[in-house]
Amino acid sequence: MLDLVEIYKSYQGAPLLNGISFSAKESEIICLLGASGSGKSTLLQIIAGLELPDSGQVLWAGEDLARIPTHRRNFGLMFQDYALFPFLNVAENIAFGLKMENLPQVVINKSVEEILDQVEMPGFANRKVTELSGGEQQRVALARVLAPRPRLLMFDEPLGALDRGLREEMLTVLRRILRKNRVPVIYVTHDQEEAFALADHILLLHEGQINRAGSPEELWREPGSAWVASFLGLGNILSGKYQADGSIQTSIGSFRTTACVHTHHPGENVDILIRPDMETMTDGENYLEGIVRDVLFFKNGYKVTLQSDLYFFLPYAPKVGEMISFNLPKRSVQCLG
Amino acid sequence: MRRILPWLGASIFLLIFFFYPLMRILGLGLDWSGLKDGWDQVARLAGSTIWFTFYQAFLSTLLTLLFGLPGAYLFSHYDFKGKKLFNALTAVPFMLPTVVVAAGFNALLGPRGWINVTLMNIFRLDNAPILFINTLGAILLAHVFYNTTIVFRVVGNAWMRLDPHLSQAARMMGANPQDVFWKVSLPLLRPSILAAALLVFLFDFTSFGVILLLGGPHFATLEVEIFIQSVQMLNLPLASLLSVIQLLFTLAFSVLYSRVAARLNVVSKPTLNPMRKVKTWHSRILVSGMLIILVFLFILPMIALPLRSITRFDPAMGDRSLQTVGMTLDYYRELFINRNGSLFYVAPIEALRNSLSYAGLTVLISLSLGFPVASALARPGRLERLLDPFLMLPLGASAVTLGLGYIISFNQPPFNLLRSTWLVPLAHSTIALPFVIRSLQPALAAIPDNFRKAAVVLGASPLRAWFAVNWPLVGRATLAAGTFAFTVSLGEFGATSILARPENPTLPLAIYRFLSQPGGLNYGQAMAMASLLMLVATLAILLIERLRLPGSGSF
Repeated sequence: MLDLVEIYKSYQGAPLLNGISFSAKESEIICLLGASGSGKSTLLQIIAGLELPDSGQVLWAGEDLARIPTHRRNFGLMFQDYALFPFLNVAENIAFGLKMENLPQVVINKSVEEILDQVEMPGFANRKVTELSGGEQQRVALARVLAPRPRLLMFDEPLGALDRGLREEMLTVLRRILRKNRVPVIYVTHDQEEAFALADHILLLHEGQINRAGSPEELWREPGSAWVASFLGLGNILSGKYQADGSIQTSIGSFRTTACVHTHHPGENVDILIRPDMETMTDGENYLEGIVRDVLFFKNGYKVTLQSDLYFFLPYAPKVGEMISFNLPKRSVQCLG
Repeated sequence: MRRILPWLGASIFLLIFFFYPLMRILGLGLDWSGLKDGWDQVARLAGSTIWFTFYQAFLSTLLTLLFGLPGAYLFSHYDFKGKKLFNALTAVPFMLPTVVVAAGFNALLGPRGWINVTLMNIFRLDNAPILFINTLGAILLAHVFYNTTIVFRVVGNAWMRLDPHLSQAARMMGANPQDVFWKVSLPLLRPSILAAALLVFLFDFTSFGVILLLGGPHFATLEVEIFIQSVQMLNLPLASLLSVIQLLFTLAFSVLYSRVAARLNVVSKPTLNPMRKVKTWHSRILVSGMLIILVFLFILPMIALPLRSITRFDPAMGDRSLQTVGMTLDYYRELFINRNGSLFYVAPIEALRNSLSYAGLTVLISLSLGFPVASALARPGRLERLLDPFLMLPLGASAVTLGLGYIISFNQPPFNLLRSTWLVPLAHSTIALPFVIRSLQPALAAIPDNFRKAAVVLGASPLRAWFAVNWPLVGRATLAAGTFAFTVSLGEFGATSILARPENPTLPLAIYRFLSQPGGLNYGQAMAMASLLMLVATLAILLIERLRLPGSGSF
C-alpha cells in the first residue's frame, strides 16, 4: 500500500536521510527503530506531507503523493507531545478530524463516544485536556488520531513521555487497538522493548539508512552485525580474528561459533556475540572461565560481571572474587560478520 | 521576497514617522548656526538641566530600590492572603497615564487634596499646611509609585528562581542566614538588581509628565526643557540640540542595560521555589509592614482621586470657616457644558471623544503593522534577527523628542500634516508599535508548530487549520496587544502635548490644563476627567493581565 522509494533529505547541510526505501502492507505494523536524531521523525513528516524530501517518492497504491497536500492524504499522525489543542475539550479535540470532513453533528457525537470507549475513557468528553494526566492525554491523542479512520496510522514516540508503569499499560492498549485496525501502521521509537512488543517488522535506522530489517524474531536470532547486536543490547560483543580451523580467536580465548554471514579468510577481523542468557550455559565446546567482579540482583536471577567485562545472567549468586567457569554451546556464541 | 513582505508596512511606516523626524532633529540639533543665544547661555542651561536630570533620576532610583527590594523579597518568598490581588494591583501603576498619577497625588496631598483640606478643617487654617505639589519630594514619590513594580517583578522573579541548593549548601558549611544573604543570594541577584536599577533610572531620566505636573515651573529635566523650548519659547534649534544630548544619554543607558540584561538568566532554575507561610512573628511584621506601605503608596492616591471627584469642599462666599462638605456630581455635569470663557472652545467631554478615537486609530495602525512583523519574528531566521533591533529603536527615543521631530518634519511638503488630526494617532502608533510587537511575538511563538501540523494531518486545509488552531490563541494575544496600544495612546502625554491642536485636546491634555488653572471648579473637573481616564486605563490593564498567557513573562 505505502511505498517509499529512495528518500533523501538533508538538514542544515548535513545528510539526514540517505536513500530510504521500504513498503508497508495492509494491517502490518512497522517499527522504525533508531537513536534520537537519526531522522525517524523527519521520515514520518515526509510521509505525512508536512515536509518535502530532497528527492525520492512516497507512493500510495502506486500513486505518487507529491502533489497531494497533507490534509487530503487521510493519514493519521500522533505526535510525541500529543499536540492536543488546549482551547478545546476532550470531545472537541477528538471531533476535530470529523469536523473537517463536514460530518453532521449527530454522527460526530456518536463516533466520539465510541472511540472514547475504545481507549477506555468513557465520561471524559467534557474534560479540559490541560487537566488530564500524561496517560490520559496520551489516550485522547490516540482517540483523536483514530477518529477520522485514516488509511495509514503513524506514531512518533507515543510512549516517550510516560513513566515505566504507564508505558506497559499503554503498550497493551495500543497493541489491542492497532491489531483491530486493518490499516498499515508506522511506529517510530528509540526503545527496542517497545519495538519488539509491537512490530511485525522492524527497520533499524542508522546514519540515514536502513541498517537492518526483519521480524523481531529474525533480528533477535540473527543480528548480523556488531552495531545491531549492541544497539539491541543482545549481549557481550568481542572483536576477534578468523582462524584457519573456523574458530575465532579473541583476547580471552578461542571460540567455536555459529556460521558467519560472509566467508572469511584466516586472519581477517570478525566480531562475535556471546549471549548472556542462562539457558544456553550448559555443556558446549566453548570453555570459559573468569573471576567474578560484581553480582547484581536482576529479574529473578543475577547479573554476574566477570573481570574480563563479560556478563551473564545466572540463576544463583556466586561470591565476588570467586572463579567460575562455563561450557558455552556453539549456538550461544554467534559470528557477527 | 516572501520573507520581506511582513516587514514592509512597519519598515516604511517607521522610516517616515520615526527615522525621518529623528534625522531632522539631528540635522537641526547639530547645526549650531541656528542657535539664537550665545554659547555660554546655552551651556549654562544645558549644564544645569543635565545636572538636575541626573540628580532626580539618581535619587528616584535609590528610593525605588529602597521600597522595591523588600517588596521583591516579600512577593518571592511568602504566601499570604490577597497576594494575587496585590500582584495584579502592582501591575496597574506601571501603565497608568502620568496625568492620572499626578491627579491622584494631587487629590491626596495637593493644596485642595484630602489631607490638606482635612487638616485645614480640624485646625481652622487659612492655608494648606502641607506643601507637596511643586516640590522635589512630589517628583520622587511619583517616580517611586511608577517604578517600584519593575523592581518587584525583575528582582522578585530572579529571587523566586534562585536555586535553593546553593544557599542550603552554604548553610551546611556553617554560614548563618545573614552570611547566606550577603555572600550567596546577593551576588546571585546582583545582575537582576542592576538591570532593574538601570531600567528604573532610564525611565526616571526621561520622565516628563511627572516633572511637569507635580514639579511645577521650578524643575526641568532635559525632557521638560525640550518641551518648554519647543512649545513655549519656540526655540526649535535649542530644543533639537537638547534632544540630541538626551538621545545620546538614553542610547548609552540602553546599551548598558541590554548588556546587564543579557547576563540575567545565568544562575537560575526554571522552576519556582516553594513559598513560605506567614507564621513567625518577624515574618508577620515584615509582611504587614510592607503591605501597609504598599497600600499607602499604591492604593491611597488611586482611591483619593475618584472620591475627590465626587466631593465638594467649597467654602461659602466670604466665610472661609464654614465649609459645605458634600457629595456632588457637579464636576462630571460640568464636563458636558461648553461655557463661555472656558478653557476650550468645546465642551470638555469632547476630549474624551478625541482620546477614544485617537486610541482606536492607534490600535488599527499599530496592529495592522505589528501583526505581520510579530508573526515573522515568532519563527526567526537571519533576516528577522537582523531587523528586530531596528524595530525596537522607537522605545529608546522619548515621546517629547518624537513630537518635536514631527513639528520640524511635517510642516512642509511632501509631509504637510501639522493641521491634520492624523498626526497624534500616527505618533501614538510609533510609540505603541514596539509594545504591540513585543506582546504579540511571544504569544505567537508559544503556539507549537505541531498544532498546525496536527490539524492538517487531521484533514484541515492550511487556511482552515489557521483559523481552527492558531486563531483561538492568536486572537487572545491580539486582543491583549490591541488593548496595550489602546492604553498607551489613551495616556500618552509627551508627544501629544506638543502635537495636539488646542481645539482638539485629548483627556490627558485637558486634565493638565484644568490642573494648572486656579479655582475649585477647574480642580474638580480635572479630578472628574482623571477619574474617567483611570477607570478606562485600569480596566484595560486588568484585561491585559487576564489575557496574558501563563508563563509568557512580565517584561
